[in-house]
Amino acid sequence: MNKVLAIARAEFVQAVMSKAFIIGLFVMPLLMGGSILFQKFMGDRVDLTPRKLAVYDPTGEFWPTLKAAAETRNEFGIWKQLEEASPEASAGEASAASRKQARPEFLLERYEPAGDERPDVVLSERVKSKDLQGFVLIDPSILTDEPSERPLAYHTNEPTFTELPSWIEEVVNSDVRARRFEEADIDEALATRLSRRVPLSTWGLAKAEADGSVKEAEKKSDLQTFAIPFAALMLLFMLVMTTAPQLMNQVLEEKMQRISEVLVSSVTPFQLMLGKLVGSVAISSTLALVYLGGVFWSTHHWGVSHFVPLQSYAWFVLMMLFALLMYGSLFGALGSACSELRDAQSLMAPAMIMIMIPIFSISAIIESPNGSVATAMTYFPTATPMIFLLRLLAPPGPPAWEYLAAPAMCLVTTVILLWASSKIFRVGVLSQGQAPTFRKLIGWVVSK
Amino acid sequence: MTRPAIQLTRVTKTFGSHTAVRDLSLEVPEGSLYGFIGPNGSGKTTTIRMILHILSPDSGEVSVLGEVGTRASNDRIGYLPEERGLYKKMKVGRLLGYYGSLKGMPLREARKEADRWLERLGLTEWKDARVEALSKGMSQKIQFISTVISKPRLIILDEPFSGLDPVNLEVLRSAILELVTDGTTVVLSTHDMAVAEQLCDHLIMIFKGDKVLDGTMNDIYGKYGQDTIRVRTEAGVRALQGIAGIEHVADMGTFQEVRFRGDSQDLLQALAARTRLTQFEETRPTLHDIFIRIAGPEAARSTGDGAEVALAAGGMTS
Repeated sequence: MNKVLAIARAEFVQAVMSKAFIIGLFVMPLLMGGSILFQKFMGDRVDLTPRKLAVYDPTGEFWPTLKAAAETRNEFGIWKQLEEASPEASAGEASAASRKQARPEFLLERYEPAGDERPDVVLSERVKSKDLQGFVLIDPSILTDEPSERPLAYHTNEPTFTELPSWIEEVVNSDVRARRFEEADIDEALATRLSRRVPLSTWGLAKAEADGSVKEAEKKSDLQTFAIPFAALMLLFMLVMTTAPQLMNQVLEEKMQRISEVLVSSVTPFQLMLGKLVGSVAISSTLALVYLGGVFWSTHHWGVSHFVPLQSYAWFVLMMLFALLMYGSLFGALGSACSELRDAQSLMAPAMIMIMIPIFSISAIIESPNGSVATAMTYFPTATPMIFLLRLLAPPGPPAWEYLAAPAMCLVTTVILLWASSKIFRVGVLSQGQAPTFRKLIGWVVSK
Repeated sequence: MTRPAIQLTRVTKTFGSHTAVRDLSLEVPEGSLYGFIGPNGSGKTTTIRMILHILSPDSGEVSVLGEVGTRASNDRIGYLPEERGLYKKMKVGRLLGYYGSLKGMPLREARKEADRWLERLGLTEWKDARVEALSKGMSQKIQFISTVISKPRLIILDEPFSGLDPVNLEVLRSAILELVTDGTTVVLSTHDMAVAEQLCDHLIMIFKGDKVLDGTMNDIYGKYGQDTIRVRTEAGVRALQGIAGIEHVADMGTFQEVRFRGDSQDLLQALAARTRLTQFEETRPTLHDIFIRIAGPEAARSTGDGAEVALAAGGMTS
């Protein structure tokens, strides 16, 4: 046991003192924080170049509405309030000091074709020469109920800028709607009030307590139903990815640098593998401690700690241990079986798919955490830790029997994988030459 | 009679259809410097791996330091494999401490012993350097320290001198002899027969998995006698062409070693008639020569040591 610990300690110290670990430890929080800051930074840096739009309206009915709507928008709709204007400042000064342009202006011009020129051809040329952002063609059928292929068409060579067509659609539609109500002699305000939507909110379950009182249902939030299970799974995935492939590379490197032979003259291959596994669990646990500590602190800081009860942390740690032992032994065995990085990478692909299965099925499982698909996938051997964790954190949580069945499944899978991997490791760690086929690997496992 | 440090009894190991070691028996006396010699691929490393219980024999018994068929004695064995392996990114001091702790040594004691050896081999200033910063010779000395750090009773060195310059070779050689003087049993595995000849008091020669020679150096020389004549002539190996009675010639470049059937004076006269002689010495055969005699000309090609010369007359059979 002392030798296993000596190997684990060496692996741990070597990893923790490496630059890669220090960088890895801070990279995720930095990436997350950085992306928030970056979005905030980019949010303030919108391209404010005025967008020029030509409108061809043969009906003449919509041009005034569009022009007025654009002027109103340019005057009031594209500004962001910065601060309260001081009471002494004049109205003009206050508006200039307290607001900042956040969206680009829309500058509209009415187009009238000269002679028999085609509006779309002429205006397209102007878009190409960057004179216009785009143009809109309004078909006269818009005023009637006649079917038309393109009643309202927006032409541009920059379709990714969607704010302008959305605005046109909104303005023209509200005008058309008003006309229709007027023709039908219906008060539009009344119609809007009568057809307003009834909002629906999602709540948990109420519970009658033993003392006769009722525990009221709690309102469900996206944070609880989606964000927490998703984040927990991603954290577990990251911890597995930090150490399992690394373990494979280390074993392979020891083989390639002929260190393995020195090691197995001092320890048994099983002790070597176990020591490496314990070391990688220690590395991941250190990372987990930092991240879970961060989650604990931040959920308390923002008053949402009730969404992540303490038992969730315990389940996370348990599933993490199972996942690390399972994938660690699997990747370690694969590393020991190969003699070249290229061979290891090709053997790694199926193992990677096993890790990725839970990630691919996140949305299907969160949508129906206790459905037959989610339940069946939980008992796919190597997927159990990740999928069970996901289901555990997504309300309402799995049925009671699964709190025993899933850990039992994890335990059985881990023991089988450790046993099989140690058999592969024993033969593989001293083998040289071509990577074995899966058939040969199975042969190593069943050999005495 | 003291117990042998290693005792192999009728050990056989096969890999698929290839027999790496066949029915091998040997005894390595405690405190001896014992040579395993033979060309590459002869079965030396497989034998060593069985002694270390890295590999299990298909048949036969392996007893090491009194432990039969288990790894129980492995903590008392130091092993320097032929293909060196050190963690390139690790610092020297930490690496030696780690290797010591793998032998069950307390870390503090391992580090103390590492310091002693680093000083002994003149590497103290490299203690905090990463292994990747060391020269090849220095790495090899570090590997040697990692082998002896746990004060093993038995040390197995597989080609310990390969790639070393003469200065480092001498340092390592004297360190090995010092260990033997202190009572450590040393097994030296090498294909370089000259090295084995210089250092070892006992020898076993393996060729294609078979033991072909086993005994003390005195036994071996006693058996093969002084029937070799070392000849250095201006004409070189061509001077030996067609002389009757020559059984075997090993061309060593500037001189040749000749096994001659008959009176050596006849050979001297024959050569003097052909060329100018600068050396003519009756000597005992080298290990290499003995090996060729036992294993045949094929063995000479596999050692790559010296060149076998086919002569028109006289033949070359052994």
